[in-house]
Amino acid sequence: MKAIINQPKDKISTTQTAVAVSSIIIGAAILTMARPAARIMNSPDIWLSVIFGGLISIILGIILVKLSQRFPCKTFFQFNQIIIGKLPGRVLSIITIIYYIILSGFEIRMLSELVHIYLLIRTPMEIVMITFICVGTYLTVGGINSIVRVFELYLPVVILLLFGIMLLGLQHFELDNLRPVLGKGFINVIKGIQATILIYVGFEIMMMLTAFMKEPKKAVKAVIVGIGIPILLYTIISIIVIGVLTVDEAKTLAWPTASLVNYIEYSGGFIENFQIFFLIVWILTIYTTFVSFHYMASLGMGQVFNKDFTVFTYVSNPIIYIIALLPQNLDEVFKLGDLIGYMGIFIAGIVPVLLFIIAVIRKKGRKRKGWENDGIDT
Amino acid sequence: MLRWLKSKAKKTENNVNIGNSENNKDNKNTSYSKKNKSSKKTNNINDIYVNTSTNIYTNINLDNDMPITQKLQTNLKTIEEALSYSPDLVIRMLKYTYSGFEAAVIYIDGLAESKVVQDNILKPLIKEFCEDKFKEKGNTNNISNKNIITSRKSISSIEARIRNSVVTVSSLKEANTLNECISGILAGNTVLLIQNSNKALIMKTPGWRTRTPDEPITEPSVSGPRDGFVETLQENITMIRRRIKDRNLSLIKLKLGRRTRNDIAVVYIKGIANKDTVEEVLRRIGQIDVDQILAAGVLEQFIEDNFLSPFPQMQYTERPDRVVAAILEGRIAIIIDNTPFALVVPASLSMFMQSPEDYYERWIYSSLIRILRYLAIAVSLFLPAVYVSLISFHQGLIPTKLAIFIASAREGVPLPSLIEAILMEVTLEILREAGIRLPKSIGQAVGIVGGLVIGEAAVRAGIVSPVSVVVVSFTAIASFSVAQYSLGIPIRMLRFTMMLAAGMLGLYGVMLSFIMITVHLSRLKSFGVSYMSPFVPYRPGDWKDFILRLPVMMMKKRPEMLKVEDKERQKD
Repeated sequence: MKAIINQPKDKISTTQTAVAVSSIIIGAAILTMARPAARIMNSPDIWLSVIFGGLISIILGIILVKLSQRFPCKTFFQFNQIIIGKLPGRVLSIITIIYYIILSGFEIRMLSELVHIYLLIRTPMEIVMITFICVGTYLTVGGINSIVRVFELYLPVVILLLFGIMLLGLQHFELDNLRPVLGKGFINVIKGIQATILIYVGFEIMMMLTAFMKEPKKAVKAVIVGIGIPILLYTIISIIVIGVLTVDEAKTLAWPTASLVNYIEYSGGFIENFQIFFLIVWILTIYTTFVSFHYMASLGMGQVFNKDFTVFTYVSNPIIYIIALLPQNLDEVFKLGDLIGYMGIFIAGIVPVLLFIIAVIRKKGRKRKGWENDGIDT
Repeated sequence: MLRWLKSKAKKTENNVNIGNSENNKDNKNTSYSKKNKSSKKTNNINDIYVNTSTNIYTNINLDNDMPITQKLQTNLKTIEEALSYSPDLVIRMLKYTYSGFEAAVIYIDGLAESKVVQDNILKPLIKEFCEDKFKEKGNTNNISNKNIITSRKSISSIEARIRNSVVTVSSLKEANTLNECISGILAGNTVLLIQNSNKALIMKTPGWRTRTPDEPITEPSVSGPRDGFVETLQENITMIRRRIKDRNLSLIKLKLGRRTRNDIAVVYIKGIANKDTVEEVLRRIGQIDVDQILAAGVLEQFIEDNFLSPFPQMQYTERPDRVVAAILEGRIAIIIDNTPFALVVPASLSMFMQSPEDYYERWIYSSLIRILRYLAIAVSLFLPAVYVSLISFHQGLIPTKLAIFIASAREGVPLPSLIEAILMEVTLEILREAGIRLPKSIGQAVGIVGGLVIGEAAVRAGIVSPVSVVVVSFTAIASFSVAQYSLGIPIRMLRFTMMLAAGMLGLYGVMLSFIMITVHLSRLKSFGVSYMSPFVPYRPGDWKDFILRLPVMMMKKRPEMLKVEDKERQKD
């Protein structure tokens, strides 16, 4: 196990990497996606912002990948020490770890809120959170291989169910709700990107995953596919949500997508309430996102403090629990979400670009073309 | 006598001889185990890894290297003592005073076939050495009669002659130590000891009865072969050999258990099975050092990857066609003497959902039946839990008409639905357990009593609602459709945990237990092969045989998950 820290021995294939990236990105965001964008944009062009947001994330993702490819078999927590020196690197790593822990706590809180509203009305949230953390820890300590296998298992289920639900939602779909296209101009779409890019948070995981890949050269392909699938999914969801609910209603609802599912009914059919299927979807997606961030945080701590990461899994659990309990009501939860969004832009967007530039300037890491050793040993 | 005492004082550790005496023999025509002539490597594997039985702890401390003395009586006495003067030990003396030939034939009555001993051992020996052959020529040349057996050279030539041209048993070998002789006798062989000779002859004369191959009880089939394994190792190996006539079929024979000295055979096809897996199997078996391995199930528990998991990590089957199909895919079979079950390694979840029937029928029907089986497993796992959670927590999710009906049916039922469901399930499990032990005549009555009377009466009395009876019985029927019994067991256990989770946390609990189960399955490995193969990790080539059973013409390659060496099964 100790070897895993410094030299990742578990290897994942390219497909598995793409699946992992997709699973992480498809998280709690599917539930709240339409509202923040609708608030900012006030026009039904949300789907365009979603696509552009996704494209920007792909570009950022490629920069991330190129950065990680310069340091084969080293994760972000290891190579940032090489690029900017030991102490600043450690500080940066700790900031990232704190970010991931807050993110995990946020995901758990979102889940508990949803469970509280739709499933278990009278159960205290603490029980929901504790059970979820336990099941999540069980997977996290299994290591990256088990985690990715579980992702491979869940992703098709999630995608199929989401498509199915969206297709059912076509029943109430009205194209007029989406018009006028580009009514408020292209600038509006650009403005919306600041909201929609937050739903792609999670792709920075590629900085860690590249170290585990069997064929790191294919990491670019993995990241493109990995972000491409959520782009497609989110676009369809946003189109249908706006098409059914209209922009004004989407502004007011706390959970637009869930409310969409409430609309679906097939009279005469046996199943009246399609909530059950949607339930499966969001529990699985939030689970995958939570486990990934939890794993990344524990791995980071393990690499910074040079110990086995499983200890840190258990150590971070109470912290996550406390963070999940911090917001007092749903409004504060969403405020936390916005805060995370801003942190995410910094950590996933600004930091890798800066690191890349510094790495090129200081000539650290292997160059891609020749794969010559630049004095760095793996 | 003195020599024997001296050797007793020595501490010996040489174990490898005993189990491997068969395998170590070079390919003279006297070896028992059928091995590939060119597989010298397996010799080394056995030497390094196999730790066969240690000292036989009998009444007297017999040293392993007890040599065969030249005095016949001493040897006989040692053997008798070692076997505790057992009354079924037969010692048949042969003596011809004219030539000084003295020998003893030793076997255990019941284990060795006395007819074979009579016809093929005693008769030729007596004919050769105990008849007066030289009398006809007149008594002028008495030297040839008297005291022939004096010099060492003559003894060895006599031994050679006996071995090569006198005894007519089909399989025999030489032995140098008394321990080999004793093991041989205990295994059903006959031992020939000659006065003044340091060697013994061990001849194979198996004489116990075996059951005729019968339809396997736990895995009956509709349109496939009806023979199942029997309790004798050699018969089982023969059944496999009849189906795979490939010269690369390799067997490795080992002995396990300090007191039981059970034979096991590890069967695979060289060139298809992954070498590392074979070595891993042998390594794990070699690490077992225990008194007894009486059944395949016990061996399974010793060498499996994760003994805490409820899921079986090896296939446990009674059908030779299943074993043969698995071996041809690249898996390894372990067959144990005295057990009609074989273990197949490595196993993955898909194996337990497949039945050999699927391959004997045509593909459309087989694919649909397989889908049905997966559905049945899902039902048998989830239905009671979902029922309990919907009734207790999420009444709003039930379709209105059904909800009204269930509510009216549960009118007056005193128990909360979780307790009701658990009660019914436990009753069903008790009935199932009782049914196994009953003789066939009473078995029918139990079905009627359990099903109709108790179920019906309980509903009438108002203890349980009819809906839960329906749910529980449907679950039970679905659980019987599992292709392999060993997978039904974890499903039964997990159903209870799911019900409890559902009773505590509703559908959220069901989802969490589902996640728990899938996570556990994803972490499980069987001899290096991920348990959830071929679904995850994605290997689209293996999906042809996973949920659907695509036409045989399309299955050109062996499953990738097993990392086989020879990938092609079929040419265009």
